[in-house]
Amino acid sequence: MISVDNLTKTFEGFTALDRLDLHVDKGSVYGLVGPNGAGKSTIIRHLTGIYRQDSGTVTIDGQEVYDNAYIKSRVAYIPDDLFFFLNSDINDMMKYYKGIYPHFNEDRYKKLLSVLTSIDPKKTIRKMSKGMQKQAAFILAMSTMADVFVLDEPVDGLDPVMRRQIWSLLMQDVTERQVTVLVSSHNLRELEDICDTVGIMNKGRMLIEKSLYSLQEGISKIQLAFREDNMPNITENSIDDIKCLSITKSGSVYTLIAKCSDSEVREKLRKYDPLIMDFIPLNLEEIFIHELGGEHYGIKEIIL
Amino acid sequence: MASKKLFFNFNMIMRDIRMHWPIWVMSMLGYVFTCTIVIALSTYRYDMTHDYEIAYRVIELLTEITHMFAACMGLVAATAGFGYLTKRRKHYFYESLPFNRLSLFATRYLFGVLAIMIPVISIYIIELIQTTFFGYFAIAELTQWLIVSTVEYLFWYSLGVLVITLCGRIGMAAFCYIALAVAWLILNVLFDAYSQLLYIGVKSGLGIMEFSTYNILSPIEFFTNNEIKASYDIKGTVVGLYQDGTYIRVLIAFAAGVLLTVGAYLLYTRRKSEKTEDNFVFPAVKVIFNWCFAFFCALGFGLFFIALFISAEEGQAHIPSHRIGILVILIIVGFVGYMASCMIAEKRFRVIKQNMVKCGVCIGVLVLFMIGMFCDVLNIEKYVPDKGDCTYAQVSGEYFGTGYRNNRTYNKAGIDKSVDLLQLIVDNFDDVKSDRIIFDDYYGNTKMIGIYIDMKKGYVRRQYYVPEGSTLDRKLKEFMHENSQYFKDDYRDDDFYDPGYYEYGDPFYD
Repeated sequence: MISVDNLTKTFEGFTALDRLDLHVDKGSVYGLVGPNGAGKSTIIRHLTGIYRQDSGTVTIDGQEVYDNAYIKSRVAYIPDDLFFFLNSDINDMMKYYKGIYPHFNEDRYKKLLSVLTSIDPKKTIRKMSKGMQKQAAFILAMSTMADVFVLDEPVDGLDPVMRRQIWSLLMQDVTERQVTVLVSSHNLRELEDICDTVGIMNKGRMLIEKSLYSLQEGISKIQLAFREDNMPNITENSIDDIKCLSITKSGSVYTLIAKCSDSEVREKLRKYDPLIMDFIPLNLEEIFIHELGGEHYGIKEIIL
Repeated sequence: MASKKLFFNFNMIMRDIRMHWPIWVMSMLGYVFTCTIVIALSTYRYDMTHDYEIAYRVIELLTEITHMFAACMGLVAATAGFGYLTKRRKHYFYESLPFNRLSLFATRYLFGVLAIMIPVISIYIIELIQTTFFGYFAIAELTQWLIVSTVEYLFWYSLGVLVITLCGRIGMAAFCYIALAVAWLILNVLFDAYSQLLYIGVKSGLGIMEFSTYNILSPIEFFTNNEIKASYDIKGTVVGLYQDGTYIRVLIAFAAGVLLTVGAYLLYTRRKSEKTEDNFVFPAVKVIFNWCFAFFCALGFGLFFIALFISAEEGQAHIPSHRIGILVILIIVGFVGYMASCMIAEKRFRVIKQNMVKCGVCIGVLVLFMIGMFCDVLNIEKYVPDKGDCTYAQVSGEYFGTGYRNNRTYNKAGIDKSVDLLQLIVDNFDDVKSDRIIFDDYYGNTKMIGIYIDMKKGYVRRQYYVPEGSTLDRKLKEFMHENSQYFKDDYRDDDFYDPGYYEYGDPFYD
């Protein structure tokens, strides 16, 4: 559905996107993650037709996005930095959107408004809190009946209950209408719950683009507990043929993160005779940190 | 599935109207109020006694000022639709909506046209009603005014759109727009300064517009002039005069407006969204800005400083006699201007070191330009038009009749003699020029003679200061003596008679 190939964008000599590739299947939820300045917002602005690429292609459903009114009418965009007209309430904005988006659904708008009850339809949106503005943006975006949702930090500023409600509404659309969602967020725990595929970006390049399952498959997190009289000294290089990304020791418990399959590492660790050997699935945050080369983002070697 | 609005979006127009209606309404009321009042005042003027004359003039002045504000507000209201180009958040919002750039531009441009046209058409209708009942104007004249006003406003509006497309910040756009408008007017003033300083005339296709004190936009001027039957001129505007009764200049202004619009659209489509909130969207514009600013400072302020500070001897501003002095001052002021423009464009003060080379190139071109003018490389100074191309000639100065009184020669013989006179000066002026650039002692040793010739295309406008006792001085006196029947003083208004004008006596008999 969304296809970005070899995309390059420079801003006065600074390369914001460097031969970037990104692919999102129809009906899937794609999580775009990366450190600050990685180029997430830049790629999103290409997908919504705001920026024109220097080279490469940005297509949705096979058509170039830039300056394409038809494709843009099928894309709903919620930016990190929201814009609403001065002195407008949500009904004013709705009327504006209704006159612009060809499939705007007023009934849906009313339903959404009745679900997200904290929005006062008569209150000027600019005077609302950030969280309420986000809700208003969601209501308007979802009422456009777009096929593609591009969301930049969409739930930033929302309380946990409202976050869950918003994601639930979005997932409902994905299930029922097969909409495609691309979401950028620093809240990796939430992305983990909703994303089918994750793209990790850094310095304008796509480091990894895999399904969440594939990402978790390649990296193992193991907890080992030992008797105090049988405490081995495990270091990063002490396990044969296994690349340890991190080893932490807390009392008699070691926690290892290794770049290998569960069965592979199980065999290698048996020789230490642990009391307990427990395999814990890595969460997205841990994958993100380790793929970027550690806690300090100091990438020295990218291991795929 | 097709987009609902591909080319033009009514919803967006309505939104723009809702957002900008206060300034629009104020502008519209201003137009209607001032135009109607001035016409009414003009009608009653001839019936007024002298006591009411002052009151009339005060009201007229206030009305003119109000009209200026109305015109400015009208242009602001019209270009406000493009204001989003200077605010990043707003720009990104519009760019992400299902429009292509053509429809965004067309919708906004149409809003501007409406903002301009509705007030103009309103005035037209009001005056049409007045005409019907009171017979102030002929309908043809009103229609003529409608066309000319529309073209004028559209020109300035298109220029505004172009400027706002080129600039990423509203402050810079306003600065550039005002600078262009001011430069347009100052050009007329500077023209005289150049012709005196550098001994150049003008040979141009369109000529330079007449300078008028306030009327950048002047439908009101048309009404006033029309009412008092002075002329149908619209002075000081891009439309300029159409004294020959044709619409050629109106058509030129219209074509210029169309070109500006097309240019604005082409630039709009190539505009990078991420450049919003930068001073200039296109790097080339910054270079043009720097150069224009430097040249404007050098040739505008530089000449002003020369006249004001260096040559203010004996309470009379005049020009120093040495060309090197002029060049040095222009280089200094040009340098300051270039660096100031860099500071404005880059929004910081430490610009000198990085821009020295670029500034050097700019100043180098300025010096070449000045040297070119001094040497008259285009032969402008010696240009004398063919008599058959001339339509009007005027000679003024101290070589005939009563000194400073103008001698207007409208007839064919007058044109012939004026051209002969110009030829005589041109043929003999090298001797004078080798002595000095301009007169050193205004009242003592020189005599002034001015020649103004209108051609079918363009005009020649020169003033010469001839040192007394020079060869040219002698030849001019001989010429005047031989042709005294053509250059006699034909204007005297006893109400304004000032014997002081005649203190120089009649040069024929000196």
